[in-house]
Amino acid sequence: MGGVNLPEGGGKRTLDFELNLVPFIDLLSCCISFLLITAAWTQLARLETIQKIEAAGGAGGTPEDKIQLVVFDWGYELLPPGQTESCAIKKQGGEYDQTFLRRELQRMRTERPLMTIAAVAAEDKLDFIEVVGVMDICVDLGLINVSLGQVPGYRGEPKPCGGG
Amino acid sequence: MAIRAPGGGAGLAGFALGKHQLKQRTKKTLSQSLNLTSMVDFMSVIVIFLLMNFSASGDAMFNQPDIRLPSATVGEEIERVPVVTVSVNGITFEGNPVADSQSVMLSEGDSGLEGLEQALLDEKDTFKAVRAGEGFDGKVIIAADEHVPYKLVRRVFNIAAKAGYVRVNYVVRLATKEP
Repeated sequence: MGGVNLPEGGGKRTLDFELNLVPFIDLLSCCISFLLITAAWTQLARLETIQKIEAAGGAGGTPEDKIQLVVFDWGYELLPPGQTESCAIKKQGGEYDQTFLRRELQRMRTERPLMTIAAVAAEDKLDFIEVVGVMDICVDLGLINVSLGQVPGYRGEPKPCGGG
Repeated sequence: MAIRAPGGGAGLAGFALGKHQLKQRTKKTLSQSLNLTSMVDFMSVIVIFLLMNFSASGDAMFNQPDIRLPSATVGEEIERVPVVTVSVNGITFEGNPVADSQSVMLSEGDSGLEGLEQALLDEKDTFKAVRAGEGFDGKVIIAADEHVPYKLVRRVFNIAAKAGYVRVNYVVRLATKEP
């Protein structure tokens, strides 16, 4: 039991009283049990895309505010807004170079503040997780309008991104 | 530690004592006071921590053992909208199987996904009937396994867009952002 001592007023009767903590502990135990049982240890979230039917032209938007990203099995291909030549970020050691992709997109965002739309596409055989990785970077960098689509036609051999 | 003969302590050994001796011994209380304050503090901290981390977003999903969601570092909170799950074993709408993944992978166009399209259109009609005053928001959630081929997901979101669901959301597991 929890005891509380109050200053005595000088009389013979003590002013101590006891607070019964047992119901309080019971309540806390029930709360802890309930919260532990119902706790969601994996946090879920959603990545929103604005989807158009592929035949209707993909993500929409103007060439000035839209960047196209394509995920191939050899790496990424980027077509910056308002340009006709794409650039490539090849895999490093068999892994997609997401760090370089993030840096390139960050640079493009700084150079082109109007760029807010990202049209992401991927080869059909690739795992969905590779597409989510690109979408994650786009949303994180503030590209508010992300859409998914089909791989566009061949645009020629892309040069390496970043002038490298 | 030396081994002592029983007796002379509290408990049953008291029966062996005389009445007078017992009276003398019972004057000393055997109860011990336990300070519960620290335990109550500790439990309060746990309750506050668990309450702050409480999330009901998982209730909006149809968890399937064959779906491992991809991870991402950003994302918005899950809303309760129609859920389409995509795994290598099949495609479901609100928990009901509507298509077989293998046959969808082998076909092209809308073939194999007629069931999903019809289910989406029915859901859209229900939304409009129930919420007559509101505009159709066109939101749908796709919970796809991280290792399903992109083609499968692409065909599903194309069907969704065709049925009028243009705001397609993909469920992800939130991961810690690397510094």
